[in-house]
Amino acid sequence: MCRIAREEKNIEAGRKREAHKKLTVVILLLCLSILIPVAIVVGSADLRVLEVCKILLKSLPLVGEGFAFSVDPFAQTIILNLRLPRIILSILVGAALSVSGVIFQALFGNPLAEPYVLGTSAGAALGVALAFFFNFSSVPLSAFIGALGATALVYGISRVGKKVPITVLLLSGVALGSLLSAVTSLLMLLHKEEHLKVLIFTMGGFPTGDWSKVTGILPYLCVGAIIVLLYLRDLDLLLLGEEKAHQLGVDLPRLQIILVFSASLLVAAAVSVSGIIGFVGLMAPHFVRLIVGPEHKSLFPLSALAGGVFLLAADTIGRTVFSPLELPVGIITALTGAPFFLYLLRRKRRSGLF
Amino acid sequence: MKPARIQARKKEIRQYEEGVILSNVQTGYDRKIVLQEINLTVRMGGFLCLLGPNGSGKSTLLKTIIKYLPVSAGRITLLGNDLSSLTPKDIARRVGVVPQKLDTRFELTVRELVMLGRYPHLRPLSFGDAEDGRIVEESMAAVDILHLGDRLITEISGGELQRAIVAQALTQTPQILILDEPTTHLDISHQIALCELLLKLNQEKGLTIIAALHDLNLAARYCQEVVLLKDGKVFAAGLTDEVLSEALLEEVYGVRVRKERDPFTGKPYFTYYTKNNLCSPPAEYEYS
Amino acid sequence: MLNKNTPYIGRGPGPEKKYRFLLAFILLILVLSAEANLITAAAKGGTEFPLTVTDQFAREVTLKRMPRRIVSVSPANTEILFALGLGAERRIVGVTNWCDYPPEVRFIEKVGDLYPLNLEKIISLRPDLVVASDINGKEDVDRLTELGVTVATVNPTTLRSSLEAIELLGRLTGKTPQAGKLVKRIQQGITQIERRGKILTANRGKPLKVLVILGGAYEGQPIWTTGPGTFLDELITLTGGENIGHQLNLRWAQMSMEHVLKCNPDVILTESDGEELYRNKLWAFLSAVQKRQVYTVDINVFSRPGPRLLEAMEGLSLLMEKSE
Repeated sequence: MCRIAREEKNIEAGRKREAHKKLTVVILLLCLSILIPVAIVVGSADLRVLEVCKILLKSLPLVGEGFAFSVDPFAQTIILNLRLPRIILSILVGAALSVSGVIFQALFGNPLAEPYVLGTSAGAALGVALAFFFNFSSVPLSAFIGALGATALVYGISRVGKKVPITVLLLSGVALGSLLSAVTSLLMLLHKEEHLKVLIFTMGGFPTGDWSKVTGILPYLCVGAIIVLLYLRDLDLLLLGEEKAHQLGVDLPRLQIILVFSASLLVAAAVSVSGIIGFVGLMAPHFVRLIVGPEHKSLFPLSALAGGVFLLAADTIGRTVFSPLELPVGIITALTGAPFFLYLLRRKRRSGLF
Repeated sequence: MKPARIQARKKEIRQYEEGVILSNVQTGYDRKIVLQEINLTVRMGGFLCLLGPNGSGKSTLLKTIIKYLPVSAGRITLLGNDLSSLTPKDIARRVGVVPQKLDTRFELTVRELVMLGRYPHLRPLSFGDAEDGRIVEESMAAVDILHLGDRLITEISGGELQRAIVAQALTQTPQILILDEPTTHLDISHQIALCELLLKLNQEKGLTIIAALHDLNLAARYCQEVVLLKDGKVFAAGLTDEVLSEALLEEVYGVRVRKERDPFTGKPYFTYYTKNNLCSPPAEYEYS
Repeated sequence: MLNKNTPYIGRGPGPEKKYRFLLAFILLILVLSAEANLITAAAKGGTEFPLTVTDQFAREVTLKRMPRRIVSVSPANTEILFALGLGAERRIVGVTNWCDYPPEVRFIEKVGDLYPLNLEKIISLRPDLVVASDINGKEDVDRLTELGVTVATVNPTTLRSSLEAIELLGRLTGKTPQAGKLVKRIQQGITQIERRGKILTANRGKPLKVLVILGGAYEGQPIWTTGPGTFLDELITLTGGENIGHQLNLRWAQMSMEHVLKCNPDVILTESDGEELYRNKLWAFLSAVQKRQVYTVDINVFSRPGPRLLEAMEGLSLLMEKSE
């Protein structure tokens, strides 16, 4: 009886998915179109909605100058130079982390892979710390090298023959992550002037919105995202395991290098502006996958969107609940993400998947 | 598929008598050599079966043919091309593979799974057009899983999944179909059904089939040719009825074998006994 | 470092709870009446505006007018600004959530953490001067400047630089004479305790070994102490003591219990209740515990130059005289 009901439910899976895809796009866009105005209006500085609208109208290119009313320069600075870049940064970072989670999950053939769990974020953070200490100007580049190194190392260590056992992968990711974090802490102690900066950094957050940060990471994000777009179908094939992927014509060694490279680009861009934010790369793709399935042509754009929405919501909560004190957004994502991770781990174990 | 591409493919089929030629091939994992001195020819349109005990190198041989494992010595020619000059994609356009078992934790639907077989034929950034969709439907119809299209692969039975994988291999529009112990996880009705399907594909569409099998009786009933492997070498090769003799099988598997003929099909079938054990014929029993 | 129930030296007994509101009300009245005197006070300040000075991080700071809306983003700066009388003139419009002295700061709008700074909140107060310090980090200070806010930074690590910080803040806010007076008083205090300290050391033959426990000592917790380069360390030396944390090469660092036992301090300054140390078996080995010379102090006072520092120095000096 129960089995029949279950089968009836599942017979529809494919057809439901098609409908769900459209619905998910609509819902996510709706969330974003509600969240962004809310995030612009709320904050530790109490600005009236009307005032915010005026400032936004005034700042429109070309027509903006035409409006007769005047705006408060302080409020204008807050909206245009602090809140707006911060909103855009949190959406971009959320999308980048989420997409890198999607890539890692396909690459390692496991839904639990994620930049934070794999130590990629810790590698990028070490890169950032080194850039701070040695006054290296390009922080994202340094973060990229760190992320790439950490991922390659975890991949190399946890590979047994042609397989990447999930237990080994998670353990080596966690171990390498703590090792790299320890090195970052050590650097912190040795260069005490910068240690506060690095401490906040390891908690993850967007203390300051800044257009230069947005433009600083955009090239990295674009390159990373375009590369992934070109290999979306290869990602689908990776879901079937490496051997099957090869049988269907995937050039594995090349694909692995390209994917690790592009995921590292995305993680580095995210970490260099926001520090270590965990679990976004786990939660967003997983929710999307539950609704639209694992095919990447829908999973990729929807995960990016969901990651952006999630992080924007988390950051808006973080900067308003205890205002004027700010909660690092990493704390909020960890508060929601870590229990979710444990739940997934338990669910997967029960169904005997490892 | 566009007419020009069909023309090209027909030409390719006509061009080669031999699908795969292995000459003096040696291969293995890392430093351990698994196969050596392999000389073998698979003719186009044939139904060839690889037999041999566990560890004799059947899977290794199949993986080598599709370049998943490197050739450490010797040469493989696939449809007239040197294997080393072909990319994985080139191979996937010509050869479809059905593995023993599909290992995935991701919840694709059956149709999505089958569609992935079109990958080697798609251009960059394309997710398949109506023609690709038609090939997918055809392949699913061929293995009778059209009604499963919208089900999740994690929810269907082993037999259904196996047929879905065969359908996926068929959407590659291959000239050669390789199967690695495809019947291992199937019950007898599904075993027979799969073999009947392969025979049908072989006879009606001229598909060349290479299958590694454990079951001597299935091999004897369906295959035209047999290659017997032992300890990484070709022990015997030739027409099924000739190669599968009691003496040869006893030498390869180390068990006593009795060969009889099926009164309905006239094909041979085998009964096997361990030597000097509880469930074996009396010692004085002499085979014919 | 924020335990509120600890009896402090350096600060008199806190106002009784029920009188606090009344006190606050009186202060408010005072503040309001002081507003009228603002202009005259500024004129007496003696600083000419516009004014360009170099702050303690070698940044040029230009003030077109005398600042009327000052945001202080470090507790030490807040105390200095209040000591200069800017609180009474209602010119301090924002302080951090950590600023807890003088009590009047309760009426001033909070701008959040020391690091990272909540720039939005700070800007929303429309400050014409933000007084930052080394603890706020260079990045946020630069960003604030970039957004068009005038920021002056101080770096009050040693006694000397702290006095300079007071003078700098005095100049920036048009309170040069007040700052000068405060600096002079502190300097006099320093000279006094130094003299007394020298006498003590001469009498004893060697300085008393002092251990500072930041935040207090608790079972199983690491001991955080102060190293060289802080004015707590300097004050201990001046009052005839020897900070056993002086050998560490960090300003604030952890110290192992083993090291404490090895150094065997004669005096312990802690923020927690001394009784706990007296009961502990391990600490009983130390001569400070045996001589019952564990004193509860408010370490915050020693890291913030202001009028409280004077009393704290005096108190420390008395403790050192009392000890043996």
